[in-house]
Order: sequence, then C-alpha cells, then structure tokens
Amino acid sequence: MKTPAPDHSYLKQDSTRKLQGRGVSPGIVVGKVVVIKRQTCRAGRYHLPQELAEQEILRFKEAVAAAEKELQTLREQFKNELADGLSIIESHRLMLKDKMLYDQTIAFITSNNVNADWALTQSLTRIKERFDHIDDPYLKERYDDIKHVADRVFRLLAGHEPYQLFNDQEPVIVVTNELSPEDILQLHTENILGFLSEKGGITSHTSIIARSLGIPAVVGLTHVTGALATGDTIILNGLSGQVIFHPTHRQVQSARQAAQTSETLDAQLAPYTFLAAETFDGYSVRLSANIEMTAELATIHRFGSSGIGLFRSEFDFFRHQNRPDEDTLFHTYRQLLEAMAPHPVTVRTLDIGGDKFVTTITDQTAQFDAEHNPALGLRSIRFSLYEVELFKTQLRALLRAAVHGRLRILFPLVSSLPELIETKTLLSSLSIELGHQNIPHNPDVELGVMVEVPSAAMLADVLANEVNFMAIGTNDLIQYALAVDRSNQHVAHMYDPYHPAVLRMIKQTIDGCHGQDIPVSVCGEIAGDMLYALVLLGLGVDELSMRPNLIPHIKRILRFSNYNQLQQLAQEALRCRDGKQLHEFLDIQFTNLYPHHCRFQ
Amino acid sequence: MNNAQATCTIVNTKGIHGRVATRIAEICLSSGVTATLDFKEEQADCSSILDVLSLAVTCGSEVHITITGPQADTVCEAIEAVLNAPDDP
Repeated sequence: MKTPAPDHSYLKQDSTRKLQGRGVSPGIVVGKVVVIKRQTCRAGRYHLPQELAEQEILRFKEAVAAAEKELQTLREQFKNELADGLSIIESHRLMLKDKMLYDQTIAFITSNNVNADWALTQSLTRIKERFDHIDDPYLKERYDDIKHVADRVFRLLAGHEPYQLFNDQEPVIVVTNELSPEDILQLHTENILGFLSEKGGITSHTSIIARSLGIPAVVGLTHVTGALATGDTIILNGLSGQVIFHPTHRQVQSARQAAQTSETLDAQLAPYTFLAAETFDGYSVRLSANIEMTAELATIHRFGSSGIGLFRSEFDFFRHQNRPDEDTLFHTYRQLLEAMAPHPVTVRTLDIGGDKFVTTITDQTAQFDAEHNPALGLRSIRFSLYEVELFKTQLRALLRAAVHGRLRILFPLVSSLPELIETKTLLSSLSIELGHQNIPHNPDVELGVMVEVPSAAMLADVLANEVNFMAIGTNDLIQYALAVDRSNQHVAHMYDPYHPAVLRMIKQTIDGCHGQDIPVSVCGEIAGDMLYALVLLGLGVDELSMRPNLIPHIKRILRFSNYNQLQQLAQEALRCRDGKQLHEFLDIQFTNLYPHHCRFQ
Repeated sequence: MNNAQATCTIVNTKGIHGRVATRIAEICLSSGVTATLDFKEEQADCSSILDVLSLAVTCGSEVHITITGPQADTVCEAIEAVLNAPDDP
C-alpha cells in the first residue's frame, strides 16, 4: 500500500478523498450511501383568502393526526422491545398536540390568513426564543425533540412520504448528521451496510446501535452530509475510522479484498491468540487492550490480551443520571481487576471537558459550552483538579479497588510537573483519609502519566522520576504536536501519525522513561497499526495497548520478528524527513521482513 | 370545583426535564384539571410539555403547583409525587 500524497483534492466535488473519523464498530464495507440530513423545514409565507383559512387549519390538523398515527404505529411495533424508546415516542406524541405548537399554529393561521407551514415555522421560532433563554444545557437541548416533532409535521404538510430509508433492495450505508430515536427504530437493519455520522462518540445512539447490530460504523466526521449525496459510493472502515469518498475502481477492489482478507486472517490468527507476545529471539512485550466498559471483558479474554492498557473511565460518569457514587466506581474497578488478575489494569482517570454530558455530573460552576477552544481548555486532569470533589470520589474508589489486583492509575493530559505533584498530593491525602477511616485500600498503587501533549514528551525524564510508568496517548499527541483537528475535513489530511516530529517525540518519551527505569506503553491507535508497531517495538516500547481484536494481528507479527532487526529498522525510520517517506520506508520493510504475511487495513 | 396547591423542591438532578414534563402533562390531560406551575416570576400550563420545559426548572429549585378541577387533591398528590421524586418517572 502506497502512502497518499498530501491530498488537497477535497476542494473538488466528486473527487476521491480520504477522511479520518472515529471507528466505533469494526468492519470494512463498500457501498452507496443514503444521506439523511435532519433539518427544520422553512416554508415561505403565503397569504390565503379568509375563506380558505378554515381549510388550511383542517390541513394542519390532518397532518398532525397523520404524524400522531405514525408515532402510534411505531409505539405498537416496538412496545415489547424498547422501554426508553417508548417514553420518548410518547413524549413526542404529546408535543404534537402541545398548545405552544398546535394551538399557536392554528391561531397564527386564523389571525394572519397564512399557510400552515409558515404558521408552524412561526410557532417553532417562538418556542426557540423561549428555549434560547434557558441556561441549563441539558434542558436547552430538549429543543431538538421539538424540532424532530415539527419536522414530522412539516414533512406531512409538504405531502412527502415518511422517510423511506431503504426502499431499494440494494443495501446502503446510512450517512446522517443525527438520527432521532424514531429514525433508529424505523431502520431496517438487514439493508444497512454501515453507518457514518457527523455527530456522536462511542456512546451516541448510532454507535451503540451499530455495535449491537454488528454493523461497521464511523462517527465524528463533521459536514459529511453536505459533502456526500445519496447514491455516492464510499468505503467505510469501522476499525480504522477511515472513510474514502468516491473511491477509484482500484480502491473498491482493494477494500473488497481487504474485507475478505480480514475474514480469512481472523481464521489464520486463531492459533496465535494465546501464545506469548515475544520475538523469536526472546524479546517480549506486553500486548494489552483498550476498553471502556466492563461488558468488553469477555472480548479481551477471547483475543488473548495480557492486561488492560487503557480503561477509559468515563462510561460510569454518564451512564448514570446522577454522578456515580464511590461504591459504584469501586465495583467497576474491582470487577476489572478480578477479571484480569494477575495481569495489570490501567485506569485512566476522568478524561472529559467541553462535552455536553459533563453538565450532568458537575456542579455546573464552569461554563463548558462557552469555551472557544475546548481542546486547549478545561479538560482531562485540569477538569478533575477543578471539579475536585468528583475527582476525589474516583480516586478513593481506585485506592480501595487496588487491593483486589494490580491496578495502575493513569492521569491524562498532564502538561507540567506542578500539575502532577498536585495530583499526587491529593491522592496521598485521600490515602491517609481512608487509613483514618479504616477502609481497606492500597496506598502503594502504581501511578502513571499519559503523554498527550508535547510538553509532557519533552519533560518525560522529569515526569518519569515521579511515577511508576508512562503511557503515550498518540491520538491527542498528534493533534497537539501538529495542531490538526482530524475531524475537520479541511485539515484532516494533515493529521499524520507518520510525521517525523511525532516519531521523535515518542522516542524522546521512551528514552526519558527508560533513563528513569520505568516502563512505557503506547495506547493510541498507532499501537495497533502493523507498520507503526514495528518501529515502536524497535524503539524499545514495553507495552502496546490497542483494541482487543487487533492483538492477535500484532502478536503474530511479533512472533515472526527479530528484535535486532526491529531496532535497526527504528533507527532508519528516525532518519526519514517526512511522513510519506516514513510510510513508504515501512511499507517496503514490512514486505521484506514478512513476505508471507498479509496486512489488514 | 375543587382547588389544591402544593410547593415542591426539585431533587431530580436534571431538573424538570422531558420525562418529568411529559408525565405531568399526561396526568393533567387524563384528569381534565387545570394545573399551573409557578417558578420565580413565571407560570406555565402543566398540560403543555413545552411550556413547562421552557421554565427551565433546575435541581434544587422550588416550584408551586395550583390545581383546579375535579379530584384536584388526588391530581395534586400525583404531580407532587412526580416532582418530589429523585428519579425519572
């Protein structure tokens, strides 16, 4: 596979282009897209003769009645399956007849002799004006529900059929900015090849449903509904998060082959799953898993992981309506430790900020939604030290859980020594507090810093002196080192893990850690990239942490490797002057070193 | 025609959000009462989810309910129970 040259062709419509989103459900698919863009219709204003006003009101009432019928049908269809979904439908059904929407629209038609569409737009505008005054972000967001409800009526007023997402027999990839709960229920999953969504993270409706249905999905590609039209062809890789618009014939063939290869490869990899992760000349590393919920524990075991290299601890914080209490967190961490024993479990402390769900768990003293530059704002460890009561709850739960296995606590986005010292001081005080309360805990739990910003990489030797291990989080490190937001389509092509500056920062971090005799891991996406993994191993990294299903791939490569060769390869890689050169170099080396291995994409 | 009144402090961390407002509207619509919710200087008609939501009542706030109609006391108790509950209906 050749590295693509810097791609500026995104400016041209219909040209092939690659974008990087977040893969949330694995699998490679090629197919035509159906673009579903939710937006509030805006109808023009038409003056009606007074005698037609009654008829217009009737037309509006019929549209509302039809909308109500649609919702009732859905409710009947899913009454035994989705409790939460049903309450949302019921709420939407009541909103249809809500006086602020229904009575107000009729009043507008009567008093102004205007068309129902325009009257409804006016009602909606008034409602929006009232909701705009709401400060609470959660309540403010309920306006989205009203929009979904009004959209349904607008569509019926316009005489359009319900969203027939999959009229065609041909399976499609659904591209959307957002889906309403009803849209999700209406999907005929047998005709969905994949999902591509503008919004959403790992916990969005789209992601959760995609994973549960086993449908490949990529989220977080902004403006994608504007860039694609229904009928366009794309390649979607739910594992890497890469999406190719308007692929060439060759790319399509290659993707189909990759999808097939991926299935064959899975079968070939099975024998390696439970072998030791070591080169044939005896150099061993730890291959561990990145997960975010305890439900994934079974998967980890299936893929032969020797530990959890990154547990993203956010799920507990927005799974509950209230902030989780200490016992809830303790049970989660204990469950992880007991399931993984004797292997280590690395729990990254709360890594949030700027996201909407934060408001449900904070004291709402900070105005996160007002941040102009959230990536550089109050997030991760900064957020935790700001919302210190919340942080204390998590740290106490971790200290208590640490008696049940080998726990490693990882602090994200540390950017200076004083920040780390402040965090450690807080942890020590909580340990003393637990001691006074005679609550079992482990005061000697292993502590680590997540290297995600250039300052931490440059100071690796200094920070390493204060902790027991370090983990390089390359996804953020690349973003901050190269000043590129990979979800922004105009600069996404500049997000290059192979950029030599990134590689040098990784090397500096590894050297800094080894100088202080502490181990270092890599837990970003590059840890599971077969080409990159070769360099990381050659640089002497002690642990690679990745999505569980990638572990057997990396393990097989490792077992066919010679450590001296990998070290030489890493030294040569460090001499590359740009990302393209590095990628091409590794591509050639891979083929030379492992002539009989096929590579997954 | 009966009247009933009550004052409640909201303990649901999300305040009076969609599900709470929906449940209150359902109670009002099914019982045929006239119910209003007073919060600060504003008043909302309890049968309108949107009206109630736009009051933006957050956790810890105090609200006042006024019910007029048949079985006002029973309806008032039902709404009070929804408003006083820490969890969603």
